[in-house]
Amino acid sequence: MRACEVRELGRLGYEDALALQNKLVLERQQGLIPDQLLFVEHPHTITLGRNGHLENLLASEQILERSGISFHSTNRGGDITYHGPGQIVGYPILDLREWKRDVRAYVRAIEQSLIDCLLDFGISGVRSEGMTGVWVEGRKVAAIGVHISRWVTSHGFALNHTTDLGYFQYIVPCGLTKPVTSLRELGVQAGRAELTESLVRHFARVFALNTVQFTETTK
Amino acid sequence: MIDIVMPQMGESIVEGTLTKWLKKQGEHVERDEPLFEISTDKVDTEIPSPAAGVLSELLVAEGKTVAISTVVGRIDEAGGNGAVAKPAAAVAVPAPKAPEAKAPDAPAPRSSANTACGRSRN
Repeated sequence: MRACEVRELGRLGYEDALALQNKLVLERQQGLIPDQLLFVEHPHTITLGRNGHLENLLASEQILERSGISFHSTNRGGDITYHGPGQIVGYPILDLREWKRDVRAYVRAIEQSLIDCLLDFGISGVRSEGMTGVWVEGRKVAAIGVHISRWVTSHGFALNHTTDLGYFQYIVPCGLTKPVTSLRELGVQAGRAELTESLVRHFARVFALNTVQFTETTK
Repeated sequence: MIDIVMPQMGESIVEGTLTKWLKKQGEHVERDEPLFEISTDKVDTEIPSPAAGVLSELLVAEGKTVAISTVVGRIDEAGGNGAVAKPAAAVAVPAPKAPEAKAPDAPAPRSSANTACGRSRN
């Protein structure tokens, strides 16, 4: 089985996380490192995808600034989304040539990992035709947006754990006028470590990866 | 001339949206250098250039969705100095006579005719 290093990076600014992803994508493309799965928690951030629509941002940049939210345009797929405390953001850096050269299958597999993880906590998440992500009773609990360069993935998914959903009022999430939810709102009491442990397990199974904790020797 | 095509990004994917050209018309590109971005579902993919040369034609505008294998642009491997256009246009006239004899310079009669058409507009 192929190896995948898992790193829990904790609270990390969006730009710092992006810089790390870009570095790891290059190293992955050159075959210097195995596949990676990064977990981060961003401070309040709103990001707009490459083919996103700025009109889905409902607040001016001044209001965002006053509310302590940073705004970034990015090269991932998808429209606009919010990241913030209490959200489990996962960034897989995978070389899809070693799995399937299929971007749609990749997104479906990420959804599957999330759906299987939610089941561990008694939540039935589903896919919704034409609307990428994982949904519970018509509300979106996890968003997905991906970038691929030479079949190496970056960006990924954001699962609302204890996210303050009030922050989504600033945007039309993913350009859809559909409500969002969080695991906390759905009654899940589990902590972040428990959830990421389950996610890693299902992710490894779905992608046939042998996951190992990344241990940083130099900082 | 090298055709740049909309790649197939997976088994069930029949089309893609060209979201952004990363190079301008007339700009030189290296082989494997990121050339344009496409979008399928929630995935944005950077597509590397199939060859080194000059990006001579952009046939699909940003924001357009086209079927896979559609030619979205062309790369002129010769290097793109203005001189290239003239001999190609001249070839178009004698071509029906002896296409075989011209073979070393012109690729195939069919494509050289297309090239002449494309250039006559300029």
